[in-house]
Amino acid sequence: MLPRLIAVLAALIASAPAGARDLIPAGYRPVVHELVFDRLELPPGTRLVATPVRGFGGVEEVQAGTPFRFSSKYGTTFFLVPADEDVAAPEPGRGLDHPSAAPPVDEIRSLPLVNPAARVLTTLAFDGVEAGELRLRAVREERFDATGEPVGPGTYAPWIAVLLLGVIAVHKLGQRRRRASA
Amino acid sequence: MSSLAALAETGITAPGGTLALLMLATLAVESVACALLTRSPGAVLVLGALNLVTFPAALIAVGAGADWYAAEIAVVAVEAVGLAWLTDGPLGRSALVALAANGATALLGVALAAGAGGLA
Repeated sequence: MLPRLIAVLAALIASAPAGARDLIPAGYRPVVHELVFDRLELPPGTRLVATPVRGFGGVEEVQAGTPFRFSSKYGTTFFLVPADEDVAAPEPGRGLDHPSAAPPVDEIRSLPLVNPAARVLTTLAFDGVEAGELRLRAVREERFDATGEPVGPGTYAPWIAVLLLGVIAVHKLGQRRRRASA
Repeated sequence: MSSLAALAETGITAPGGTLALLMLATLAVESVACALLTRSPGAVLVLGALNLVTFPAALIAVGAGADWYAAEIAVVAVEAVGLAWLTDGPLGRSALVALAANGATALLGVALAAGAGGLA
């Protein structure tokens, strides 16, 4: 019974999208995913706030050039509110009565161990308001390692060399087997 | 450029050391598991050679975006078939050996991930 339960649990974890996993499985490690707006040209008399709508409230005022954390699990949502309105975090399951939009990207909470990135930064653009909804789009995604250096494509040259060595070793073992059975 | 310098440059690291160390640990654990299960030095040698193929291949595949679990399953399959072919052994027993050996390294991976605070 226990092995079956473990197998079902493993299958559930493996089948969940990486961004939605609470439990980070072996082979993955947590990363920080932030959003940032390069420029923010809002309608006059308004400001942009971000707040989760599924609990763990807190209202973050979004400012151009300042990265901020978000949560797909807790439903971080952007709201365009009057500049002079004192905004309180909404009750779980409810939003604010203002134009809104979810981030146009899913939160990346973990990456494979072999991925060098420790921080993901997605730059967003605000394109206006349409039918009570904010028009947001992802402009680019950048990844940085633990020291803050941008992560490039990297080189797998050493591992390709090991792979070739392995292929040669297996080939030699195959030849030896054929000689032994001849 | 040395392999370690290249690893440092790409930032490919694993908790507790570089992936090169992780590969050596994998080789050691799988070799011990294989030796215990088969009591055959030849099988240990074959599994070691197969690891030189499967470890970097899985690493490159996962780094390119392949799912870690799919890569693990492919590794077990390749090692099972390779072990059966190169030792003239039955495929079922080879599959069991590959599964057990990789299971041992998976436990090592869980321990490393837990040690690095990977279990959130």
